[in-house]
This record gives sequence, structure tokens and C-alpha cells, in this order.
Amino acid sequence: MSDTAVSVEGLSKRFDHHLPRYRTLIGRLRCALGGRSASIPVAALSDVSFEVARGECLGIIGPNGSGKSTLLAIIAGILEPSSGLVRVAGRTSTFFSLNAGVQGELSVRDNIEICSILMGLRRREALRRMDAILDFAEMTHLSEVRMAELSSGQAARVGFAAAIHSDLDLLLVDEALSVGDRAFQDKCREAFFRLRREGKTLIVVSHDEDLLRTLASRLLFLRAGKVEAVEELSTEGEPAHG
Amino acid sequence: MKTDLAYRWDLFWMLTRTEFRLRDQGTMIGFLWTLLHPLFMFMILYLLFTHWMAPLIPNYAGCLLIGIVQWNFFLSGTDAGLTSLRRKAGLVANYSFPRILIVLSSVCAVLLSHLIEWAVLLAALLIMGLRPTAWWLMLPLIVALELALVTALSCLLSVLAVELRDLDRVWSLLLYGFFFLTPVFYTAEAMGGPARRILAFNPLAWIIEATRAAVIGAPYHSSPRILLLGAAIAVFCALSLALFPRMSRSVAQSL
Repeated sequence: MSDTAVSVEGLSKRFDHHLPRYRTLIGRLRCALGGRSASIPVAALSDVSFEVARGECLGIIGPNGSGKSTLLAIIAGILEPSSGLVRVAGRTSTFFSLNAGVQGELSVRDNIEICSILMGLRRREALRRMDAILDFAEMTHLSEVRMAELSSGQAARVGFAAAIHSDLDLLLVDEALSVGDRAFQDKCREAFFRLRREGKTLIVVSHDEDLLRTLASRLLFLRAGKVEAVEELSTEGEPAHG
Repeated sequence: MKTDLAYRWDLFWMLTRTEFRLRDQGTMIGFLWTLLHPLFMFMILYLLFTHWMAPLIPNYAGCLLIGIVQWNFFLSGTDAGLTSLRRKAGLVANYSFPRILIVLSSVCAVLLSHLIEWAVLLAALLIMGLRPTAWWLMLPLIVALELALVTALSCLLSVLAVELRDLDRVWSLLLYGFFFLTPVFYTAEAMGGPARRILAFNPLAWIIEATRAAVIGAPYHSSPRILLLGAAIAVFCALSLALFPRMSRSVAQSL
């Protein structure tokens, strides 16, 4: 088995942003008849290359619009690259918008099942881990409550807890550590350290450089879709008790 | 591969159950609301057309009920399919799995309601004095044909609807016209020559006529027609399913 979890070679991504007035049938016809372009091309990533070793935690940092989330979405297989190669060894999923699959009208228990299956678990496995997920999310007493009745912080815990209990080899985390209150954030950070000890690979995107320095073994700086710098971190800031 | 298929089945079934529960609020009252739509349509059309159609069409009430239930599946199925990727934009933008599962689960959630409607319809026909025959065994095949037609259309419409934001309005306008070109409240037999020639190009008309023939023994000309229809829908469905992965490649960035 290779020691490389993710290999990105010469990756470029160009978006064609469609102009709103041409996103209709009539608009497209006008566009076709008038010989006009219906979209504006925007380069999101240009010739990005790097590798991530199995069990490593890579932090990605950069200003808004630098291509961080696009890069994660391509690694996750959600977006297709315009050119270049991305190889991923093992199962992966994103921790982007953890509430993307959540249904407000269904119960917390139902939503944990939904989120767990979306994160790659078989249904029977999701049901088997239900109590542990409810316990992690501190929602055992609220398991039959409608999701819509929870606060946004409580709702985010559900998605996060399901994700933490999935069987992914590579976790792609996009600003997900801002979930819940301070105590829950510490619990999440602790969970990430545990996952690393279990040999899981992590790629974490954040604006919070201090946070990334406590989590990652390497930092990749992105700017305007290009790799500006890569910094090896001498220490991996696991907490003393971790 | 086996595990992958089993996982995809779990994912598909979870999406279908969620969609079904949200459509009908997961309650019996919610489902009764779903039944109320075809029932209300039946009452209005029956009151309006019974004096005109009943002398021409034996068992007009049965014919009308079948027409409405089959039309309703086509209408609700294509509507759910067309909007499926847009409604599930959050899933498309955040999770990587075959997008076709979203379209198929939306159509299958409507199919579940359709099957319950069929159970209620068959019970109503029995109460009306109809006796079951061996031809009733053709029903699953006919429902499967309509499902294939709805699925094929939904696959194409769902991707186009991501790019063309007014497609649902255009589609509902087309369906408005299509309703009158489909023998829902009349039969092809009761129509004159020119109208029948137009109906010959409507696959849903063939499906509804075949359903009436199988369930209540209404006149239906030649079984080769249903074989031809089956072959045409199978080719259309295979083409649509084959095109879908290519067409849906960029939906995550378009949503």
C-alpha cells in the first residue's frame, strides 16, 4: 500500500460563471442568436501540485477567493479539474457544510442516520453507532426532537458528530472547527487528534492560522489560485494530555 | 464492487424514504392530502363530462379514475424529477456520489405514492362491481413502462433545469397543453379520426389506453402496440441514463 494519501499534480480549475440574464431558455436563445457568450471564465486554481502522506495533517490557508474550498471540492470528487491529476487513496468526504443533508422536519435520530449514510456508512452501521453519535453530540435526551427546533449550534453538532464517527480514510475539513460553543470546539479538536493517531489523513482549510499550527504538520499557503509557499512545522501541537 | 452497490442501495433508499416522508409529512393525514388531489380532479371532471362521455364510453367513472391516476403519476413524477437536483443543491455541492441517485429517488418517492393510489383505485373499482381478471397481472408491466418514461424524461429535465432556471415554468405550460392531448377524461376510441392520429404519437395515451384495457377491459387495438411502445421507451430510457453522467458532470458548479 502506498504511503501517499493524496497526490495533486498540475491541477488547474476554471469556472464559467453564467450571467444571470442568460440562465433562462429565452436568455440562451437570445445568446445563441446574438452570438454572445453566456458566461465569464474565472481561473480558480492554476498549476497546483502537492502530496499528502498517509496519517499527515495538511493545513491550507489563504485569503477569500484563493481557491481553498475549490481545491477541497476537487479532492472530494465534487468538482472536476479543468486540467491536471488528483489521486486519492481510500474513502473520503468533506466536512464543508455539515448541515447540507439535514432535514428540519425530521428528528435528530433520523438526521444522524441521513448524515452518517451520506458520510459513507452502511445503514445498519449507522444505526449501530447511533448511541455513540448522540452521546458525542450531547443530544441523547433530544433524539426524538425535530431538527428545526434546535439552535444552529446544536444542529451543527449533529452533522459534526456523524462525520467524526464515519469510516473515512481522508477527512477534508473546511472551517468546520467553528462548530458549537468553546467546550464543544475543544471536544472536536480532541477528536481530530484521535483520528490522526488512528492513522487518518486530514486536510484542514481555515482562516485561523493559529488553529492550523496546533493541528497540522505542514501548512500550504494559497493565493489567487496558486501555491505561494509550503511551511513544514517542526512540532505538531497536540495538547499535552492528548 | 458488491459493497459499493450495497452502499449505493442504502443511499438511494435513504434519499427515497426522506423524500417520501417529507412529501407526505410522514403521516396518514399527509397522505390523505396527496389522495385528495386526484379525487378532487375526478369529481370535477366527472361532473363536467359524464353527460357527454358516459353514453360513448362504457364504465366512464372507471376510465376516468384510471386516466387521472396515470396522468397524476406522469405530472408529479416529471415535476419532482425536474426540480430534484435544484432542490438537493446542498447535497450536490457537499457530497460526492452519483447524481443520478437524487433523480431516481425523487421519482421513486412519487412512485410509492402512485402505488398507494393504485391500491385505493383498485379497491374503488372492486366496490363499483368490477371483477378482477388475469389481465390485471399486466398492471405492474404498464406501471413499469410509465416509470421508465418518467425516469428518462426526469434525467434529462433535471440537468437542463439547473442551467435553465425557467424550465419548470416552460414544462408546466407544456404539460398544460399535453393534458388535453392525453386521453385522461376521454378515450381514444371516443375521438374522431384526426384526434386519434394525434394521440397515436403520444406514448402516455398508449399507456393509459393499455391500462384501461387491462383493468376494465376497455377496447384496445393490438398487443403489438404495447410491445412497440415498450421497445421505444426502453431505448429512450437507456439513452437518457447513458447521457446523464456526461450531462450532470458540471451541475455542482452550476447550482
